[in-house]
Amino acid sequence: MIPIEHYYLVSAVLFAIGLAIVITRRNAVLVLMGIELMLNAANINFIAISQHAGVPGQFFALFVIVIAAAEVAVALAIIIRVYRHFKTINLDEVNEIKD
Amino acid sequence: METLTDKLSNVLRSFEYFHSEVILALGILVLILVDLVARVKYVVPFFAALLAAVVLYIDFQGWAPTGGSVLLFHGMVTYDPASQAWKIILDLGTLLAIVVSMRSPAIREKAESYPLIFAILLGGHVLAMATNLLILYLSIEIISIASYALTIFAFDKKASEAAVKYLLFGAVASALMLYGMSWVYAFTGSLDFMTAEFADALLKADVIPLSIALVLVLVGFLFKIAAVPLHAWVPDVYTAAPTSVVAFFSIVPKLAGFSVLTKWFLVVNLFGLGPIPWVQVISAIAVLTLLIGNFAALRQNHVKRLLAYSSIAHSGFLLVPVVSLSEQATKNLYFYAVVYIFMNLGIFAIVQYLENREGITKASEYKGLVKRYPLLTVLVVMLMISLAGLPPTAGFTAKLLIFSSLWDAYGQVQDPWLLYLFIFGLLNTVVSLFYYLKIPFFMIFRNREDFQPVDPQKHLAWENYFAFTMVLALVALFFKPEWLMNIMNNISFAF
Repeated sequence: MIPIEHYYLVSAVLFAIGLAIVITRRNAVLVLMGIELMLNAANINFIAISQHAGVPGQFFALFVIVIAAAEVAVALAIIIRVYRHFKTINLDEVNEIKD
Repeated sequence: METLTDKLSNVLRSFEYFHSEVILALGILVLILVDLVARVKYVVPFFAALLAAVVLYIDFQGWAPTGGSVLLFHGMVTYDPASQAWKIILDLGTLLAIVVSMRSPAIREKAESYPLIFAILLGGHVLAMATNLLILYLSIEIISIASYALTIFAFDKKASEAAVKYLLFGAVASALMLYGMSWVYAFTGSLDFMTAEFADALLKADVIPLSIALVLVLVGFLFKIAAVPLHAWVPDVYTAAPTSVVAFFSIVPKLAGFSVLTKWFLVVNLFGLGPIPWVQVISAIAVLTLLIGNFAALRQNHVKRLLAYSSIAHSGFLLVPVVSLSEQATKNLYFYAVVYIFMNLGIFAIVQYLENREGITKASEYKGLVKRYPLLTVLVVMLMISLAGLPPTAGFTAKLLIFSSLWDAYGQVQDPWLLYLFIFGLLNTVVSLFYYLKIPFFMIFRNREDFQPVDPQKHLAWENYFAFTMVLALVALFFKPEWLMNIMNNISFAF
């Protein structure tokens, strides 16, 4: 059996990569992919912990997958809206609201 | 070991305490159907108001202030007087916000918005009762995803920009929270966060990983209540979303966030025995929220943006009873929440009215309106005084109550951060006067030539009645705060 620390390490690396993508990328779809990595990092943790703590962690991961899908559906709809209005999904250029 | 039959009968028994949520869930479906078949424009808003009223009535019926707490669905959610009180407050806010939205063309004519509003209310209900991390995450996400969709309902360029910013910001905040939760789960091995085992396990965990995990979880809550440093989405969303949606956002998702933050704060604080000084941390966040909210509001000219910063500042005030950590403080939090609902909906109803009638959104465009709308000006003055927290309005009473409970807490624990919070809170009340009175100042003391007084009939606009009722409630609660406090005082807290 793989020791649980390995899972934690993988998930921490995945989380860091996701956060780095979110912070550095300016393309809205790529930012969404970064968020997805962050959510999956948490999923790995939840499933790994269920080695010791039983099934609730696995259920949590299932719910997270469903919620991530719902979030992406709404996100892509909104990004299409943004593209229609701005003709770009570069987040630096989506900047109309001023004081 | 429980048999399957036992488990099923437990679930069935739980539904006895779950009436309003079941009705909300069914109501959302019925609303979608009604929207499909209705040919008359007003049917869906009317039906939505009816649903909100029914839910409010059922929650009021089911309210046993002195009753104990009941674990439902194997401890996933807990029914107790405190969460029931939050549910009633959220229902009241939703009902009034729907009444305001009936005058908003953006919402009224696109009736898909009503199921989304009720989805947020359902999320808020479950969030107020949540005692399990899974349910907590689930209900926060229900609120968030419906909020992203509601933001875009003006369907113009600015709304889409605000929605995408809100969405990405919110998704990152919830991903951070989720990762924090996975660590908390690793420390405790349990998702039920109100149990003694959970607290014991937290006490035994190492300080540094525990602080990282709990700060990450806190990020999600701070995002929901729009506190600094996770307030960046608020001004843009408030500027671009339809006004009645903004009125709703400023109340229900925020107060739902507070309903769970008060519980979560009790858990992580571990009666002050834990390694992390949470009272200081939250006090510092409250001070920063007050400062940034109020000082940024000073230089705003766009009225909705100004009210956005005002709502950030109010989050700071609402955090005051959270750190005071006493039963009386929690009751004062309820009082503040109710008063906050009245103030905010009153002012947003008027802002929406002027937006629809005169097409004005800037504070400088409000100049000289006193000649055209004398009654409206009086109402704006009263609401602004209440938001700033001056007598003779309930805004003053609410602030007095929360600061007196803060002072009591300081007297008990002598924590200097509580004193800083007290001082900054009072100073910020003075600062907030400058921007709250800016709009009445423009309305009364600046002249404008091109306005003709309208004929008196038009003063009887529907929004005037609504705002007048809100002002009346605020003044009544100033003179008779015991009307509300007596209800609050009956709530027993069995933590």
